Parts: sequence; C-alpha cells; structure tokens
Amino acid sequence: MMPADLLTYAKPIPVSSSSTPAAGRARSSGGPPRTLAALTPGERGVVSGFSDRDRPNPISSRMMEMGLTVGATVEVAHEAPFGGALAVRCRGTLLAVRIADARVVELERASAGRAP
Amino acid sequence: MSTAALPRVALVGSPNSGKTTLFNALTGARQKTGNYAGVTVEKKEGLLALGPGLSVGLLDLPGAYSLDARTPDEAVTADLLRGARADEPRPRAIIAVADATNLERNLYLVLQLQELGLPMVLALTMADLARKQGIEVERDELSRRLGMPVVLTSARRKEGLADLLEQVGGLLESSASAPHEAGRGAIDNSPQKIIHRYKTIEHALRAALRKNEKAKDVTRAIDKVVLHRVWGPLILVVSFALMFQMIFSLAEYPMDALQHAVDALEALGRTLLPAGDLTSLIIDGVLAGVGAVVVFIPQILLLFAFIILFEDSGYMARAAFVLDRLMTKVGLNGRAFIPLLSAFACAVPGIMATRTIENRRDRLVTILVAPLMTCSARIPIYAMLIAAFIPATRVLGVFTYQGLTMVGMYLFGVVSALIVAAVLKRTALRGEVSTFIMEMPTYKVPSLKNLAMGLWDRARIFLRKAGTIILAVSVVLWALATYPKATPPAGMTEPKAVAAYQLAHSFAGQAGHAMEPFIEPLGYNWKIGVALLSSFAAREVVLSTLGTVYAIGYSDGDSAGLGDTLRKSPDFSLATALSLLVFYALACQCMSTLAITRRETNSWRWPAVMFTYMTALAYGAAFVTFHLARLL
Repeated sequence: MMPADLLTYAKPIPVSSSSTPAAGRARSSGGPPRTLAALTPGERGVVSGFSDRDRPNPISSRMMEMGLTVGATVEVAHEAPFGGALAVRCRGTLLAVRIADARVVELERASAGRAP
Repeated sequence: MSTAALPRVALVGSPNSGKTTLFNALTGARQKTGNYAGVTVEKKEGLLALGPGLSVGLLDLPGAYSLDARTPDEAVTADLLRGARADEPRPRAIIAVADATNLERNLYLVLQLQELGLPMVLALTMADLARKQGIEVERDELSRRLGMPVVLTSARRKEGLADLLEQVGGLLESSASAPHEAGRGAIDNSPQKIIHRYKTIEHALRAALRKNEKAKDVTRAIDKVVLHRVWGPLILVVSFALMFQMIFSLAEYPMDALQHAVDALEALGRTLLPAGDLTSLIIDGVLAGVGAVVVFIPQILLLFAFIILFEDSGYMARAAFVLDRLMTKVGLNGRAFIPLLSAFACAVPGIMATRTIENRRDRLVTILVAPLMTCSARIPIYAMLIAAFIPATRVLGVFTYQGLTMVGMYLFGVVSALIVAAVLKRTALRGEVSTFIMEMPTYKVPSLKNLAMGLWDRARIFLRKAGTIILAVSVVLWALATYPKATPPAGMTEPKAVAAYQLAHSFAGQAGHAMEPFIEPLGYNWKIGVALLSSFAAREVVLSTLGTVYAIGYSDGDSAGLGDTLRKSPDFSLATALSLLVFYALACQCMSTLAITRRETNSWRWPAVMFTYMTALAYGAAFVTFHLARLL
C-alpha cells in the first residue's frame, strides 16, 4: 500500500452529483495504465496485468485465484453505496473488491466499454 | 460416536458451495463438532454409511477459496489434505464440492485438490437450482474433461446422494492399499499455474455446460435494489432494526416461561430440601447462577437464527460490502460486521465469528471491541435501572424516555466499540490497510435443516459454557457470599434482613467494604461494590446480588420490586444509576468472554489487555457520568 493510495482512500465520500467517486479516479487517456478502479458501474474491461507483483504478499495472487486472471473479462456491476469498494462480475461470479485493491488490476487499453 | 478408527473421507469446497448442506444431508444427525488442536478452527465430523456394515468418517473441512492458505480456516484445510497435521491422519479420499450454478469459480479449488493426488469424486451441488436457471451440465463429458467422477446432487431433493455414496465406496476400494505419498508438498501457485487451471476449466465447461442466457437472473435483479446507493443502506438499516425488534418481542414469551421454570424449581427445592448450606448451594449458587444465564437462550438462538438466515440467503456478504467503507474508517473491515452483530447476542459467538477475518490485526481489533457491543446479558440490568430511574414520559408520540434511553445504551455500546477500534488501529495495532476480496454468493432460499442444525450447535456450545464456567464461578461466588458465617444480632429474625446481614459480613461483603474508597468517586457504596464483585464473572448476576444485599430478595424474578427499593434508597441517586449504566456498558464482566479470547488468540496477553482497557474505560466513564449527572 503506497502512502499516496492511503490518502486518496481516506478521502470523504463526495456528495455533489457532479463529482461521483468514479470521477475522482484516474480517467486519463495517456499516462499510467487504466485500472479496474477506473471503471464505473456497467463498464467492462480485460485484465492485462498487475502492478503489485514486486510487493511482498501481493493481493493480486488471491485476485487471480478468484478468477481475475490476465485475459479475463471484468465488469463493474455496482459501486458500494458509501464508496470504497466495487462489486465486480468475473467468470460468472460477483466479487467484492476494494477500490484501493482494484487499482492494482491493470486493464487492456482498448478493452474498456459498456456492457451490452 | 467415534470415527477415529474408521477410514476418513474429506468434504472440501469453496465458501458458499453448498458444502454444509450436503454434509447435513449425508450425515444427518450423526455428527459432532469440536476444534482442531492448537487452532480455533471448528472441526465437524460425521458418520457416513456407505452400505450395510460399511461406514466411514466424513470430515467437513472449513471452506477455502484456495489451498494457498490465507486464513486459519484455509490453513487447516490445506495442511490436513497434505497430511501435514500431526494430530489428524490424511484422509483416504476427497469429496470435492462445487456449486453447479457457479462452476467456473468453484472448479478452481477442485483442480487444486486434484493436484493433491488423493482419490476424489466431484459432487455438483444445487443441481435442481442450476436446471431452473437454464444451466445444463453434461455430467459424463465434464467427468471426462476433468478426469474425475462427477455426481449431480441436490441436497434439498435428496437427488444423487445414493450415487455419490456408491462413488465414494468405489474410491475407497480402489485405493485400499498404501497411503498416497503424492501431493504432500506446497501447492504451485505461480501466475502461470493459476491461468493454466482456469484455462482447463474454460475448456471443460465449453464442452460440458449449456447455458440458456435468456433465463432470468434473480440475483442480478435483487442486487439492483439491495446494492443500490439509496435503497441498499435503507434495506440494511430496516432489516437489522426489524431483526432486533423481532428478537426482543419474540424472545419475551419463552424467556418468561424459562424464568418461571427456574423460579418453580427454586421454590420446589426450598420445600423439598432441608434448610442448610447444601440446599443454599444448590438453590442460591447453582440454580440461581446457571438459571440467570439459561434464561437468555431464546434470545441468543433467535439472534443466531437471523444470522444463519442472513448468511445462507446470501445477504450477509452484501451487508459486509455495503458497510466496508464505514468499517474501514475505524480500522475494521466489512467482515467485522458479522462478528460485531453476533456480539449483540453474546460476545462469545461474536469472537468466534472473527475467524473469517484474514488480517490478524483486524481480527484482534474486532475481538477486543466485540465485548463493548450490548450483549443480551446487559439487558436485565439496563431494563431494571431504566424502569426505576427514567420517567416513562412520552415524547414525539411514539417514544418514551425509557425506550430512548435503552436505544441510547445500544448506540453507546456501538460508538464506544468504534472509537476504541479506531484508537487501537492508530496505536497498538497499527498496520497497513488490509485487503478485502470476497465472493458475493447468489441469493438462495435458506434450508430449514441447516437452520435447525446450526441452532442446535449453538445451543450446545452455549449450554456447555453455562454448565462449566458459569457453574464453577457461581459456586465460588456463592461460597464468598456465604462464608464466614455471621451471627445476626438478637432480635433480627426477618429472613431477608438476616440474608442481608450475612452477605454484609461475608468475604464478599468485606471486600465490598474494602473497595468502597475506590468506587465512591463513581457514586457507589459498598453494597454496589459487592454487586460489582459478584458480577465480575457474569454481569447478569448483578440483579440477584443487589436483591440480596438490599434485603429484598430477588428469587421471584421481580425486577420492579428491586427497582422500587433502589429508587427509594437514600444511597442510590439518579446519578448513581446513570453511572452504573455506563459502568455496565463498558466493563468486562464476563469470564466466558475472557476465556474465549484466550482460546482464540492463543495467549493470555489479549484477554489481559481486554480486561484492563475495559475496566479502565468503565471506571473513567462512570466517574465522568456521575459527576456530570450530579451537576445537572
């Protein structure tokens, strides 16, 4: 867990409709890779990698075991009502994943889009 | 029932795979629960009759997502299957369990199990539900692709169970010789291997699974509401509020009945047995002490019934998901919600329920704050003090000051627990934010059989506690309050006055006098001191002690009489009552909680920490309450 992540994570839930939690997350086209945390409910993407492999005891190994493997399609089904976590559909199951953890999951750049 | 000498078969599956339902269907009532040595993981074992005269032991291993263990539960499953636990022999065969409606995810563990090299059969559960959802499994094709026998079962309809037993018999016959040495090492969990397992699953399912995509997905429909930004939290609040309302209103009648039964037994004992110390020990010690606790069984069972129903229906995982953000604010995580909710009935099952929390620090914090939640043992003293000292005046039409104070006491417990958790996470139990990844199961209609067996289990655990710790402590406290014998002054003949005199001069009474200087700042006299001491082990006995020490008796279960006496007593002001309410909300007066904490944390350190901080907190808060209340 990077200190910067911690700070973002501890931010209060935005209340105004113009700044939903998703808007606060990275949405740039260039720069760092798009992550699972950037998807809004209804959007899907394809897992391309994990950014925590060099950390000790990476969360990504458990995520992979839960089905979020490279190449798997993921869809954000819901955002937790108070924020902080996403309900992610993957391989026919719904998984609860914290947004802080979802930042570790990188998505293929061209893959994101709305679910049919 | 002992299955030690029998060959053992292990039942293994992911959480929510329908494993427990299958276990109950296979073994019926022929099961027992215990603990694995050295760890606090629950061990469930049953007798599986394969045919006439042929039985094997069936071990229901804790649910695991993976054999690469992350929780104590998963570690037991992984170690036992590898034959790495000294106290448990390696099972001879495995029944792998996978939910037919969630095969892709569930088969992951099954493939890991296959790598262990033990003879195994795959039992697909909820086959009837799968068909209803338009999922068609070609059993022979799946069996061929995965390289293991497959049986479609439905525990609810008793479908496939005979077939499963036959397969297990076959496995044992073919593997009757030497124990398997393969698969004893650690599981390979490189990313390549994980991807390979999922590829195998994808290929197998593409060949063996037909899915009618048009079938309506009930879970999705329910989740649209239950996980909705507005409706989700609202449903959560309403369902848990309803739950508590129902627990209290429904439990009232059986609790009254039990109380009457205990009173009747006491009365019967007094008429049948000769007056003397032995009779007093049986009635005032054993019956009063154990009876005071047993009376709570309806409430505890009702709470567990709701928890089991929420859990089995699939709602509990959603509640944890919705609340995770709020829980992380105070340094806990969404999974702490279930233990803390259980602690409203009793901290003991609450602390036992922390086992599903992966992160050790999160788990410790949850254990340490669980006893601050208002357990049902606090209800009698709250009810008595509130009825006696708080006016029943109506406010806003439907509420009364008394009702609001009761709600306030519950909130006080919750807020204290959250504050202490936040403080602990920022000081002694500092650590990185834990991770949280959890499967949200599909919604299911809970099985009544699971409910009944779960409740029976809880009732047994609770009665065992009442029969051991509480019985022992009741006897010790009875002795402290009975000896040394005092001779009442001449002219004192009224039995209640004699009893009060006796208590005042007993060891407990002397201790109460000795501690008076320490508790006077809280507004308590020596009589309350005696009550504090006697309720040290179990807070619910405070009423009977107060009854005795104020010389009115309490054996008739009449708390209104006690309340009246206290209110009229010059040494018991409103400030004292409020201070006592706060003290009982925060103090750790529960031997069983300390014992279970010792067992769950495997050290005396954490029960010591728990006792110290709670007592200090109770003392400080009661002090402040007393002095503030006197100013008003």
